[in-house]
Amino acid sequence: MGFVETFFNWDVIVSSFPLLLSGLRVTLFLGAVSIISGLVLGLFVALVRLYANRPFSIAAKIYIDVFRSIPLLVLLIVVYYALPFVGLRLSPFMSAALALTLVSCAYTAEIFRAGIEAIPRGQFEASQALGLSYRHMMVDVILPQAIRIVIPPLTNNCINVVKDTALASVVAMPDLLKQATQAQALEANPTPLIVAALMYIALLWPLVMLVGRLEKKHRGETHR
Amino acid sequence: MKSFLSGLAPAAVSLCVLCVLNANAVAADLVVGANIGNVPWEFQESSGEFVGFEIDLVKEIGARLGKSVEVVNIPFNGLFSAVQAGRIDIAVSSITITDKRLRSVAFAQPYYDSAQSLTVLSKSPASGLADMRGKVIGVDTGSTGDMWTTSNQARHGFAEIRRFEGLAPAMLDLQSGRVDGYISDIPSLEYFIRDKQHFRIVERIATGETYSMMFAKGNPLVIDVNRVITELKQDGYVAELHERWFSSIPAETSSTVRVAELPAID
Repeated sequence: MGFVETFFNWDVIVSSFPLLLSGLRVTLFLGAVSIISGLVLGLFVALVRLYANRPFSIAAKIYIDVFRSIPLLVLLIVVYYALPFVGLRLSPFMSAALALTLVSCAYTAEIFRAGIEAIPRGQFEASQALGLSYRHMMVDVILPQAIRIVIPPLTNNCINVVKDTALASVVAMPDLLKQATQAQALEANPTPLIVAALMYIALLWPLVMLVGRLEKKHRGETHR
Repeated sequence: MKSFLSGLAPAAVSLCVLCVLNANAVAADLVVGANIGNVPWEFQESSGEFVGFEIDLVKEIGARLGKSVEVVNIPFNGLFSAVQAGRIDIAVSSITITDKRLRSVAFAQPYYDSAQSLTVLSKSPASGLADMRGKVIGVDTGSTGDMWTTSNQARHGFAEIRRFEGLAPAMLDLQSGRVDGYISDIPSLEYFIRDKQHFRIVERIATGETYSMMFAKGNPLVIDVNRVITELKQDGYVAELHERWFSSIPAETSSTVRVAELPAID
């Protein structure tokens, strides 16, 4: 069999495309759920880590460190195969979303912390001198600037989360990679894997370019 | 002496580099890919050694061809691209011969007649496929069980099909109740549950499928292996393997005993 017939077999593309599209939908949904919940929880954990009472702040730091150290695949397998033994039986989707969110949240918290700490102390003092409440200081002064700083690293984290959704195929999730390996075995031809790879690239390349753009823009602003 | 040593040092270094580079290339004459854990066809003993019906068969074939055999562990759905990419010469894993697969790969003559089966927890009230309406079914990704379940999903009203990377993870999910039934090759399941009271097979699903070894399309090795399989059937070696691994004598009409043609697309 020739190269094109093996890796870009048109008949195989046509017959496996619906399967791959359904996998792409699952991948997108899993990525979106994990990214959004990771962002919201990550911001919360960052604020706890920076401003809460000492015990809470230490707990947040331990959480961040632990979940940045554990390999996602290991966490996923523990969540999926170990938790049922203590009576917590999550569906494949819930297990994957939980593991991805826990890890994404830890990284997001570190990114937000770095962003907030990059705001000069003087702005906190000025806000306090103006009599702004803690909530107004954060929402109106600090976070809008911090978010500008953290958008490129956050986008990077989003890219990583979407790529990591492929690990969910080990817990019987019908995501893009899973559907591609299935189609590959059904057709006995590797074309579906190549198509899946192209789909991942088509999905993430724009985001990768966006990060580059934002970083350049940000550099321009800070050097002004 | 010094000049001898100084000449030797670079030679030794380059030799080491070559050894490292060639670590994979200095393989056996025949590299065989198998989905280890697929009992009783190919699995790992506690000693770490690979054993099973197909391991015995492929080793005997290697011996008769005068070639050394090395078995590598590859997940079932990865075997297809592994033979096509030439990473392995032969794939064994109770692989069913299908027309669709014959379009991309080659098979030797079949040596086992198989069927699918539905396995449930012993405590489940289910007594057959009829009780699986609205239930979640587990299968192995890309297997014939996957194909059968997918094409019969509407007819039997399965709520969902979950696809696993093999018997072990699927059985874990059957045990934890995430799936209600597992549809897979009957010989593996019979062997797997023989010492596990909490699982039972409630239905045999006749599919008329047969197993054989898989090769890259156009690989002349298939002809040699096929010839040896004919010899081994005539010698009664394959029937002997059947007795060793399934503790029963195969029927005279089965593909385990009867010599068959090289499979081709109808």
